[in-house]
Amino acid sequence: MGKGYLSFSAAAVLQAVANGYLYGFDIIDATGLPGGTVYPALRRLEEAGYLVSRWEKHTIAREAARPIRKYYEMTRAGEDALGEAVKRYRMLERTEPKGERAPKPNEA
Amino acid sequence: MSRAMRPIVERLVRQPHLWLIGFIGLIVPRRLRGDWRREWESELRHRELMLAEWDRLDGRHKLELLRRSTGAFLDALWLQPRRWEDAMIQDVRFGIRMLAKHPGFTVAVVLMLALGIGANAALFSAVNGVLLEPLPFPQPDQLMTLHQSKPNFATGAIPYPNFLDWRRENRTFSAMAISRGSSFSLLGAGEAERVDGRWVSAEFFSVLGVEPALGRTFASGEDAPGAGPVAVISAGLWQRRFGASGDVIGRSVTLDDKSYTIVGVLPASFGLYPTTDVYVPIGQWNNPALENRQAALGLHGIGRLRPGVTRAQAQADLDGVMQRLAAAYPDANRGNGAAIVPLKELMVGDVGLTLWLLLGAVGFVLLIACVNVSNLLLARSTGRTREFAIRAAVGAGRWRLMRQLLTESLLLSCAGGGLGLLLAWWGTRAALGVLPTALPRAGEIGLDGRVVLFTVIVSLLTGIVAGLAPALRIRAERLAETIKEGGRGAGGGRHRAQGILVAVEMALALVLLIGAGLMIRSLSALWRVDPGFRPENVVTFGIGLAPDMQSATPEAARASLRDLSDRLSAVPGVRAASFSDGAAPLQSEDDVFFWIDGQPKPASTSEMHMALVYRVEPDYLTAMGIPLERGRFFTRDDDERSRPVVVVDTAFADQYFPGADPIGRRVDLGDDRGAYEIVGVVGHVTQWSLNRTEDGRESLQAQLYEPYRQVVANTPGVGVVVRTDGIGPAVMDSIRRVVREHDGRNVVFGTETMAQIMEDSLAANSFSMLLLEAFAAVALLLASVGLYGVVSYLVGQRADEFGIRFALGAQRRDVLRLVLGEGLRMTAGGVALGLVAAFALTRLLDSLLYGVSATDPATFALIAVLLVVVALLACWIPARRAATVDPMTALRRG
Repeated sequence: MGKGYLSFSAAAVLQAVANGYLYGFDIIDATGLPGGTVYPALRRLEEAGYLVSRWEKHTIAREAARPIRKYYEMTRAGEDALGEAVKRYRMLERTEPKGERAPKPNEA
Repeated sequence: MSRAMRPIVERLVRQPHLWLIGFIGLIVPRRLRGDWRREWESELRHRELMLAEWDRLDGRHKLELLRRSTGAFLDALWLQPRRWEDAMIQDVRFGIRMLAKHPGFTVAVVLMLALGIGANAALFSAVNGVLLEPLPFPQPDQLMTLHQSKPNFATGAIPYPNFLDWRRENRTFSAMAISRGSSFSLLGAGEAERVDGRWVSAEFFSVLGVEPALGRTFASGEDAPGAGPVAVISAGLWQRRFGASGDVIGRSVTLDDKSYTIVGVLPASFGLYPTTDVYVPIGQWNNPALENRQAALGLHGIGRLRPGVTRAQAQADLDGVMQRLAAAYPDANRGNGAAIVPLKELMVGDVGLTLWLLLGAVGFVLLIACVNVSNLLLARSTGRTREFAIRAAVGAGRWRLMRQLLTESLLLSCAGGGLGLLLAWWGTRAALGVLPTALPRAGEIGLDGRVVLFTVIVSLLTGIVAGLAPALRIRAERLAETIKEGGRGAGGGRHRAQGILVAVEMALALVLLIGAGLMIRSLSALWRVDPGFRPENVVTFGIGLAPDMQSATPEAARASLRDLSDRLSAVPGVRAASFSDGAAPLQSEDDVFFWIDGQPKPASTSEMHMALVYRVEPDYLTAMGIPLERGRFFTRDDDERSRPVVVVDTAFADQYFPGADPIGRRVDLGDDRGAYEIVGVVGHVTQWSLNRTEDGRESLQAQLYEPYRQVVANTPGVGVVVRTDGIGPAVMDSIRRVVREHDGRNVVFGTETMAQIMEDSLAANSFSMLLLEAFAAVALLLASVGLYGVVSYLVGQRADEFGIRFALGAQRRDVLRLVLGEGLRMTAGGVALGLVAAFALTRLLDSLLYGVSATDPATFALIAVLLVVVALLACWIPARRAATVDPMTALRRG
């Protein structure tokens, strides 16, 4: 995907991240798109420089006795791209941000 | 259940989603696998834990988790392309490193491939420019050349009145024009020059769709007699004489003493008549014969078909027009028809077959180069067996190693291709500079997208073909063996592969050599053909005469011509000189209609006989060296006042007076001078082509000579034939001086020796022969080098064996015989294969050969022997090396 043109699903994924859904499965829930769409979209968005991915801090995961998760954050470029996409895909505006924004998991 | 299996089974039962991730993860590229699994598994675990926390981990949600994990499959698929990128870049980097480690090898291979690929690219650019590229006019398929067909000449000239009727009455052409080549003495804007010109009708340029670079082309009606004298000039003339100045429009030039206003300049890209400098409306041609429906003045037409009209429809249309004209003017047109030839066909001529054959030949050369490279790679891969074995041992698959080798050979071939493209560009420009007339449409030969694409494809194929043999030899079990053996096995299978490759090379080289040999024999047969005259020391040229020759009285003109002729004959160094008008052997043709005196005058020209006509002076026979068979030739007394006489050739005599003596018989030429008496018979000269077969296909062979002084008076120029004591610039300088002394405004032009003319008439054959020779020589060189390389390598491999043989009592010559025998075996295989292939393929050369059959046994045998001899020579050095192996060293090593 070249810079500048986002497909609807990619835009939806980006919007979900903007709304505070940072983990893969949460984005799947928020957008309603299947995992086979969301994850490739995440990778494309990362390649295009609209998202960066990070592993969460070990300590958080250890406390919860589960493996560390990978989360995604939007970049400046991603914000611009999302702004463009929103103009094009009117339905995106109707998505809801995740309740109160969850505290950002510290970097691993 | 075994201990190891238990956790796996447990996991499968309790957390099938995680197990599925593990399973799907197998297809994820290894480098990315760890990360990928972690992400998916952690997401699934997280969700699982959350669900457990909320007490919702029941069957339905477990199924839900399973469903989610199937999404991982698409994700894994999406990651597949990464696998290629990584591996490919790795391969390329590694390949470059390996090739850089052996610079000598790499350079040699790249050069060899560059030559092969470059030659192919060069020849393909010729095929592309001449045969494939459409003509540079809008809708070029609609452009047709038009001719009038006569009973004995299929594409003859169109009389002007007929053309006007064609233009008016046809229904299938959107536009039609006519033109005729000529030459003019150009004055003004510099010193006097003889230029090629063309009489054209007004729509000539619009039929072609040519837009002028400056000014305009002709307007309709400007070709009528009496219209203002205007001219369109070529870009070349514009640059040469007017310095490409912008104000050339409106300036005037003098052509043959008449002033013309320049109204337009053609673009430099207009290459239909590359040597023509000036175009003038046909109405300016002061020739009363333009109104004569029977006069074929060398006018040929060009027309543009209406959209959707086919050539067949146009042919039928013009046939109908001609039928009506034949009915209306039976004298002129009975038996005549119309002929339509697509413009491209006319321009390209017969060169198509030759070009394709040459492309095939050069393909062979590339194939040989490929095989050579393949052998070299094969030899080198032995040295790398340890490397491959170790890599295989640590997990590289067979396919991976093959891919590595193919990458290296592709790197070599692409480097060779890039260099080859440069060589091709440079080479074609050089070749065309030397032989600009060897090919039609030469200006369109160059490197364009299609040629580059062709080169890329050829380079890739070359890389694959060359790399195939060594790549295929990677075998897992052999690699294991090699590690055990310490990496030194001779590899019998490898030996056999190399032997087969060498035999194939030899076969290909043999085919090319035989082809070249046949062409050489053909060309020398053509050279030995007796043209009927003696061309040594004969020069021909033209003299443009001063303009008042046209306006003088016939008597004054004749006197002036006689004066000029006498002066020319008196030049020191000139043995014989003669004016020549009408036809000239191998140069131009002209014919007359006639009937035998005593027989009734035929009703129309189509029922008359035709003969080539040569209007010459008495010294012509001496000048050309044509033998007189019977009777006499012309003398100074045969002029406008004496009775009309002609001389005929043996072909004429055999055709019209078979078995009888033509001397004393008379022929009527349809002019007002009555019957001409035949006073002599001379030998037949080759008029059409030195290639007897081509020449024999022309039906017009009868030749007739008229005395120049009897028939020519006011003429703008004369052709001259001169036999000198020796060709040198001194004689021509004296001739030029004498010509200017006769009249300062005379201009000598178009000087050529008869030998040159004969060479030019064989030019097409010579060109292809030269190329084929070059390819065959290169092929022979490559094949010998290949053979040498392989035998050399084998000797190196078996050095120890030879040492042991010596130690056991073998003589030097036994080992020599052994090695030579190996080489001969490979050669014999190649020769056998090559002879069979040559037998099948040389038939394609049939139409280009003369005097030798395509399966000439002498040539085949000679070339086969030549190849064997060269092969023996190539094996000699390594054989000698084998014979001088020191047994002690071998024993110590073993």
